[in-house]
Amino acid sequence: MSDHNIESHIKVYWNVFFALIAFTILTVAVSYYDFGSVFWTLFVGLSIACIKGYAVAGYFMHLNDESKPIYYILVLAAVFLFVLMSIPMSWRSSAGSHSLEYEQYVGEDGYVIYKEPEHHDNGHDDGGH
Amino acid sequence: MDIEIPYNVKEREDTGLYNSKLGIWLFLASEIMLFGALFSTYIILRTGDPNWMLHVKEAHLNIPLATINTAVLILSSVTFVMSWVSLKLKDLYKFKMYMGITLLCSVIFLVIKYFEYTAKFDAGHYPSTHNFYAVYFIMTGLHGLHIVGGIIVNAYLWIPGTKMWNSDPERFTNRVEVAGLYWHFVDLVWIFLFPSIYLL
Repeated sequence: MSDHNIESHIKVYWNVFFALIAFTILTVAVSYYDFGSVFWTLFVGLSIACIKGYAVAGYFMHLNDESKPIYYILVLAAVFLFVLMSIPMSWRSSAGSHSLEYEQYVGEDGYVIYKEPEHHDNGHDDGGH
Repeated sequence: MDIEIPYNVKEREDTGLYNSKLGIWLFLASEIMLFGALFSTYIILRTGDPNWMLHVKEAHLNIPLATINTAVLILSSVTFVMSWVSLKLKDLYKFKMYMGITLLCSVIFLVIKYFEYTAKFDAGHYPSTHNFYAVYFIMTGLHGLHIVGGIIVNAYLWIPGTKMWNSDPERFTNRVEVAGLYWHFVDLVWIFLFPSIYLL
């Protein structure tokens, strides 16, 4: 890296720093905004985090102009991360259907309570006769 | 008999990397899996509990303090990269100055975390109180341990480690670059932890 190159890099580093601070303020600001659904709140919040993450990885960690083996390592990590995330998520979606078997109540304090439904045996009584 | 280890300073022609840079990226890949496992645990617990957000509201997380901590960590990242740039410009004085600021920021981060934790303990909130607190303490605690590890390495490079600058300046610059990659990764994890736990 030549001295001239370094000087231009210094400018980029400080610009990235100010951008990261601005995005941090934006993240906090949007968390108070009502987007109407949990999906959009998470989507906007995590999108800003992804932009910030790219700025740190791309500029501070120099990933924008790194050699190929590093990209291979990171792609491999991303694939394993996807597997790691998808296995429990698929388990969650199948387990979620079981919760439908439970009756759901909302208490006075706003908390949701699950209760196992009472089993009706259609009037048959095993104990008598 | 002295055996010289190759590619300690110069990059290998086939990979374009020197030894420790390849090593730190492999380590960071394993770190992605570690924090990835915790994030997936968080998603499972959060989506499986309809009362999760009520517990978050009751926790009264200190968003202003966490925002200050985010800014402090971002500042420490830019001062770290500036310390590496200073070595590239052969300016050891500026390296010490920027690395000193980085260390100061890391200590401020931990002090703020200490106040945050003690407030939770005083209110009777422990990891065993609810799954939310378990996730909160484990994820922020593990991140805090990474900060402590970074402080130890950075403090070594700041004072005793600089001896190498006189004998092998290129290798010392590489050491700082590798420590910087770790430090930026710790910053990167916090960038996702902060909105996930405190804001969303």
